[in-house]
Amino acid sequence: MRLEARKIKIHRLILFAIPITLVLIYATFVSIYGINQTHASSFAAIIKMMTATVWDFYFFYTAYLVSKIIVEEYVNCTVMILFTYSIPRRRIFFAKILSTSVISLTCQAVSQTICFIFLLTMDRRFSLVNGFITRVDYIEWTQYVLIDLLAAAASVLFLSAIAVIRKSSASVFLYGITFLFVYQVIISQINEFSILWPCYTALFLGCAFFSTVSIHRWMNRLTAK
Amino acid sequence: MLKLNSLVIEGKHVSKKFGSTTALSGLDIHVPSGSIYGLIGLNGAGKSTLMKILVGLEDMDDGSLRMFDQPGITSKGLDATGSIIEYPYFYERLTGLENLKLHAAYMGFHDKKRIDEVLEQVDLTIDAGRRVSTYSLGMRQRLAIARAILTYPKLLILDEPTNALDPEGIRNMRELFKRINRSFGTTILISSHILSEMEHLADWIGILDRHAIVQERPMAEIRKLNRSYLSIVTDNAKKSCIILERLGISDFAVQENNSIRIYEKTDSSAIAKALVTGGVSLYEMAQDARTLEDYFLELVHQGESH
Repeated sequence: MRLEARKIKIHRLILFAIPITLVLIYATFVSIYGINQTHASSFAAIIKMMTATVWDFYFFYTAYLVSKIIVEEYVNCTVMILFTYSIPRRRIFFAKILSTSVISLTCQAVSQTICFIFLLTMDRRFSLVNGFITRVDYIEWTQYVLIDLLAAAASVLFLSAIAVIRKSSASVFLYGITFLFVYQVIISQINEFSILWPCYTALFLGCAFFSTVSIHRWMNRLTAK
Repeated sequence: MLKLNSLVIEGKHVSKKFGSTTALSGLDIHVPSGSIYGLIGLNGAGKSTLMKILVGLEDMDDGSLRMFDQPGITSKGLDATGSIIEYPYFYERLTGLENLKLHAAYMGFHDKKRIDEVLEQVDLTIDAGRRVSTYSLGMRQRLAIARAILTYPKLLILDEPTNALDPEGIRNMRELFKRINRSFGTTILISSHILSEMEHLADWIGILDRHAIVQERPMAEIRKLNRSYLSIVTDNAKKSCIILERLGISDFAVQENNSIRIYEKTDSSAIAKALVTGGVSLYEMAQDARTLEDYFLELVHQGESH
């Protein structure tokens, strides 16, 4: 993983999360006003909307990371150097997926926290949200963040598999939209955590299986065709 | 003659197909330990495919391979091998130095002074701090050579390593490979289109034709079979032969077209004078320097003739 970090200049990728977070803060602020225009907002609704929006942004960030860390190795043919080392190929890909997961999930978790703190701070100053935040809201936020991180981990596995199969950044983003759609369908229709947790856990396990089989099958093919 | 009792690479009936296209067909290869083995062949003969199989980038469909006296490609074998396969690929956003450091880290090699040493050997010390994306093809080739030799490999597999180098660069690399071979006993398997370079560099030659190795020979033996000669064309071949024998020349042969090939090193002006004085009309006299290229092309186009 340390070698992956050196290759991709990890500090630049992490810094990229800063403008994403700023945009998310802006989006949160605007969305609250948007909700207030049609009906009085509540912390529950805001928290669900905000955490899903952060996830949506970081999904594309994850797709970008997968392109940099996996697709570029094939496109630039540096995989031909990697595969001449005595390091098992599965270990190489495990390190890549782990690097992508750690960067993406950590940045997302930090952005989620910053946006939540922003929400609380702005509400204290401008009374943006209808009602007061309660302990239940804090628990709900924590659960949504953890579920989103589980979905994010699933997206890393799914996108990594696509990257190894197709060896193209365009395919990673295109197939990724399918995954985004699945995430949105689940999160928008279901409110009960007792159903959300099994849904996303199943999604994660499915993606883990797909990723394991696909990478094993396709990693040795050095070109897309 | 080199003894074949120690082989670094031994391949038997190695075959590889890509779809319906045959790349290798029943190829046998024997690379003696400590030798510089030159692999020559026409485009599409299978040189790069063979080299990719040897470094684990491709799997063979059939046959057996032994490297470092172990069956197949092993992790220890890969650790002991340096290679350049096809185009020299690098991490473009990293500098030359960073690429070498990364390679050393992947190989578990921790001698920092060695990186400076190889950069000096390939004349890239000044440019090491620049991104590889700014390098010319020649510089990339030199950096690839530096990467291949960085970890003191026991085996170097080099696929046309002197492509894009200028004549001075080619000579420098030739001297470097010879030095590595002599100093460290590194076995070098090298392919090149520049047959004159192979002639100067290789101890053994493997000729690849129609997806298999048709001949493996020590370079010294090829030189013996491929001798240069002085060709003379006269009006009377028989009389010319008598004159040559009187001059003490015995190593010559009359060709089908009545020209005479003299394989001994002789004074051509003395021969010309003797022939003319002896009443023979001399129509043509030319020194024919046979090269590896002549040998190779003859073999490839006419089949094995020796």
